[in-house]
Parts: sequence; structure tokens; C-alpha cells
Amino acid sequence: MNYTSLFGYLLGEVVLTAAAFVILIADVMCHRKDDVGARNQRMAWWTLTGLFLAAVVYAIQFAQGNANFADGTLVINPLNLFFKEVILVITAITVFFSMEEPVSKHVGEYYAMILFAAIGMAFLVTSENLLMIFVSIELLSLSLYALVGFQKQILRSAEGAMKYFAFGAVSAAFLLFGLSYIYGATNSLSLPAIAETFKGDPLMARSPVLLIGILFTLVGFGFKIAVVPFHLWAPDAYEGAAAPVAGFVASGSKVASFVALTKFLLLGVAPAAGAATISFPFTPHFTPGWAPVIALMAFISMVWGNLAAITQTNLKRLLAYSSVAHAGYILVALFGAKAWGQTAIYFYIIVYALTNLGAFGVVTALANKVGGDDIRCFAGVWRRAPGLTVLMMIFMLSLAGIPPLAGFFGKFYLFAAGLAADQMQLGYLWLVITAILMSAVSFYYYLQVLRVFYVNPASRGGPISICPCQRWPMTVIALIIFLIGWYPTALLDWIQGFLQRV
Amino acid sequence: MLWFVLLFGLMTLVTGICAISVRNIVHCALFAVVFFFGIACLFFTLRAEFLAAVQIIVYIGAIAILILFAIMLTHDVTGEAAGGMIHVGGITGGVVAVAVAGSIMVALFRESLIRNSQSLVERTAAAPQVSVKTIGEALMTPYVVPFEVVSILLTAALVGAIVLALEQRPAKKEGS
Repeated sequence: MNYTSLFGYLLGEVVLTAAAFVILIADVMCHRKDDVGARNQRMAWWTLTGLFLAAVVYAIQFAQGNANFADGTLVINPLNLFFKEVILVITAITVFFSMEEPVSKHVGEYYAMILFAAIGMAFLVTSENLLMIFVSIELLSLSLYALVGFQKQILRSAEGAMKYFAFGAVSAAFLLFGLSYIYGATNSLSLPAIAETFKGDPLMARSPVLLIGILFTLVGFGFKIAVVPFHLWAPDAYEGAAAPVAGFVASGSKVASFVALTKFLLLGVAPAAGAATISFPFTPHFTPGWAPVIALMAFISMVWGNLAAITQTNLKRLLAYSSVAHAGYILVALFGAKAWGQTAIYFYIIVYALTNLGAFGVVTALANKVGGDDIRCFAGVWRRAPGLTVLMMIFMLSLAGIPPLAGFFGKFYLFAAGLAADQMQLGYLWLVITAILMSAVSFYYYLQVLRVFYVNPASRGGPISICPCQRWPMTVIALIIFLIGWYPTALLDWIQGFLQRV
Repeated sequence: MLWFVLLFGLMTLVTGICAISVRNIVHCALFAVVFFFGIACLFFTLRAEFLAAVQIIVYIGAIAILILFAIMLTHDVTGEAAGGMIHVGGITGGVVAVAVAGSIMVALFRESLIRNSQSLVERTAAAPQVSVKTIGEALMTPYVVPFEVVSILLTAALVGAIVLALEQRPAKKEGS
């Protein structure tokens, strides 16, 4: 137990926390007299400085090698550091998006909350301990509830925040209850130690108390990743939140939660997976465990998310339902953990988060200038903001999964991992077929959005000028998506290399 | 001891339900006080005396009083005008709650069938006698990181709550 070395390991998060406090204080002390717009930009730069310093710290930690502190509460390895960097990038892009127009007049608090959420995410991807996972999920969720409700003058913002909070509170209760049962059954909090207990105790994988603990934990995670039937908050929260915040909820929080869920299932309770296979001459085979639950959630999410997205008239709600569907696709790869499911999940979650962030960036840049975020408001935006519409096309086609964009390869790896899960019998073929059919359905609504952007008669008004602080991050995202699409093995090799060095 | 657990459990359950279903919001708060006390008693029966004391000091001594103050300082909040609690959502919620409780009971029952009672007793007996010193050492050595994160969490909650609760001032005062 050495507090100095612990401080070294925590330095990145310490920098972020310090930045949050500096922002809170500087906003009150130094910039009180300035008008909201100027304060917003200053605070945004402070936030970006903090994020940059933390990124430098993480980059230095890459070279220092692995560390595991106290029962997995803090695990430093290349994979975790890589995801911390991804989260910092996502946060930085969110900050860039909110730079042009303040979300609320509480500017300092807004950026401080974004940093607090980022700290929660960073801790979530770096911990392999049930207690730590719960605490960081709570830090992340609390910050996001507040961020969703920041636009106090708008009623639907309050409604979204309230629903998000109510669902979050109940699911946090389930999560904590489930984690306590897992602790009771295995007598350990760290995920590798939980995995160890399966070796010594043959009954453990079938232990009903453990299984019910896992089930309740999945309720909590299901809320965080917004899968059916725990998705009900998502459309309202996304619609009510300011567009940059909605993008942050849809990307950063998803990345962190999926990384934690994958670790929990594959590192901790993998032996309690059970099975949910349906082999060729229709012989379903279900063994109790988390696999049937995940398979069910994946199945309904893909079907319901895609079908509900078709009927949406609001672009943010459409993206919310599409994110429900994407969460379903990702769950399919969890079964292929023995093959390369983990790599596929990590690959896809990064690609998906960036793409979604880009799409919400387009909404941010345009919504106020075209008079709302209903899809019909964007009619003929092609003539008014051609560059931005091209970016939107890249994001939408990548979400739909059209080659050669990154989304296609992401989906391809996910489904291939799902197939590889039960190679002899192809037991998870039913899920993969559903996923492919439902991706075909998703083409309809993604292309529908593009049709409105390009084909529908133009609304009146001259060219829309886009702030460089929004244009450049979006262009960079689009470039990354394009490059990963052309050369997917680059990111794939990276992730596989990190996984080997864990 | 078992009878105490059952008694306190029943008390907690009944007052908990009352706290969310009674119309008058002051009565709700008072039921919540009894509810917190019931939880403290359950901690006592589990021989977690320190937790029980903290529960009483923090929840009854501070939080319940704060809730009463908040009610006192808020205009026109008595809860009398609030709609009835029994509606379709309540019934569905009740069914789900019974299902959840039932599945936990089935799981516990099956667990005791799978494992012989001897091993269960051994595992329960393994729980250590918890003193304040143990809790303090655990918080400051292996669990120091979650402990620190909780403090960030409380700050974030505080900042978020203040922003959300702050009254919107008229626009002309802005920046002054």
C-alpha cells in the first residue's frame, strides 16, 4: 500500500478533477462580468486544456507497464488506457460541439459536469471490481441526469431528465442488489477473483443466488446501454437534452458501459454463461446463465429498436432508437468471446460512438438554424449547408453499415463473432440472421433521413455558416470512419495487441 | 433473533410502503423516519452496530430533518392535491415487485437445496466481526479509490442539484 504510487496511477483522473474545480471557481471569480457566449468559450478552452493534460498523462502511463491496485479497483493496462483516451477524445469533441452556443447560462457548471461524467467513464473502463464499477456508474449517471436537465427553460428537457433519473434510480437499485448477491455467492469483489471461485467450486456456475445476482446486474447494465426492455428513457432523454449532451450520452456513456459489461461478463462470470442455442433442425437448447438473457435482450432490441425508429419524426428520437438497435447488435458478439468477440465488440463500440457523435454534431450545428430537430425541418438542407450534408451522409451510411465505411466492417466482425460462438452447430445463427435482416430494415430509415436532407424541397433561407469548432471535429470523425473503413485491420490489430498485453 | 428480524423487516416494509403512498407529505416524511429506524434495527440484528448508529445519525438525524425543512420552506406542497396512488401503473408495478421478490425467494430456496446446509452455515460463519477500526482500515487501504470517487460523486450531485434547483432569474439581472 503506497499512496505515492497510487497518486501516480490516478494522475489522469486527478488532473480532470482539478480541471473541473478550476472551471467552477474561475467561472464565478474571474468571468462573472462577461456575457454568456464569451464565458462559454473560455470555459470550453479550460476544459479542453484539462482533457489534453489528462491525455498526455495517460499516454505516459502507456509506457509504464501494467499495474493492478487493491483488488482490481484500479487496473492500468494498455487496453484500459486506450479506452480512457477514447473517452477523452469523445469528451473533447462534445466540448467542441457546445462551444458555439451555451447550453445554459450556468456555463462553468455545465463543463464541470461534463468533466465529472468523463471521470466516471474513465474509472468505469479502468476498474475490475464490483464496488468500483457501481460507484463509477453512479458518478457517470448522476452527472448525465443533471446534464440532460440543464436547459431549464425547455419543458421536455426537464421531462427527459426526470425520466432518465427515475429509470436510473430503479436500475441502480437493481444493479447494487445484484452485485451484493454476486458478492454473497462468491465472497469476492474483484472480477478475476470471482472467476477463480468457479474453478474451486463446481456448483458455482449453477448457483441460483449467483444467477439471480447476474440477472439483476444485467438490469442495471441494460439501462446504461439502453437495450429493450430498459430503453424507455433513451428517446425522451435524447430529445430533451441539448444535442451535444445527447451525443455525449449516446457515445461516451455507451463506450464506458459496454467496456464494463464486457469485462463483467467475460472476465468475471464467464463460466456462468449457460447457453441459448438453436441448432439447425430446430432444436433449441437453453441452459440457465446470462447467455439466454443477453440473447433475448439482443433479439428484442434489434427488432424493436429498428421497427420503432422507422416511425420517428424527430431526428434525435430516431438516433435514440437506432442506438437501441445497435446495442442489440453488439450483444450478439458477446457469445463469441472465445473466438474474437471481445475484439469485435471493442472495435464496433469505438466506431459506433464516433459515428453517433458525428450525427449528433450535425444536429447540433443545424437544429437552431433550421428551426428544430424534427426530421422535416432538415428538408433540403443540402442547398444551404452542402459540406455538412456530405458528412451526414457518411455518418448515416456508416450507421447503416454500407461498405467501405467503418460501420460495415464493425457489423461484419460482430456477426462473424456471433457465428463463431458455436462453430459446430451454428447455434447462434438465429441471432445473426435477425441482426442481418434488421440491418436491412435500418437502411430504410437512415436513407429516409438522407432523402429529406437531399431530395425534399428546400426550406427558405441562405447558406448556413457552421462554426469551425463544429466543422473540424466532424470532418475529423468522418475521415476516421473513412480510413477505418478502408483499412480496418489497423484498429483491429491495435485492439488485439492491447488485449494480448492485458 | 429470527423473530426480531421478522418484526423489524415487517416494520420497515409497512412504513416504507406508507412513506410513498400516504397523501400528506409531512406524514410521508415521518413514515420515512420510522423506515430509516427499521433499517437501523435490521443492521443491529446483523451485528453491524456501527452501521446502525451511522444510519440513525445520518438518515434520521440529518436527512429526515432536512426533508422536513425542505417541505416547510416549499410553498403549497402538502401533497393533498396529488392523484391517487392506485392506478394501472401501480398494479403493474405491484405485479413486477411480487415477481422480483418471488424469484429471489425461489433462488434462495433452490440454493439451500443444491448446497447442503452445512456449507451454508460455514460460509455465513466466515463473516468477520466488523468493528469501526476494520471499516476505517478498509476504507483507507484497499477501498481508498472508490472512497475518493464517492467524494467526487457527492460534489457532482451537489453541483447538479444546485443548478437544477436554482430559480431562473429574470434575464436583465444576467451578468450583473
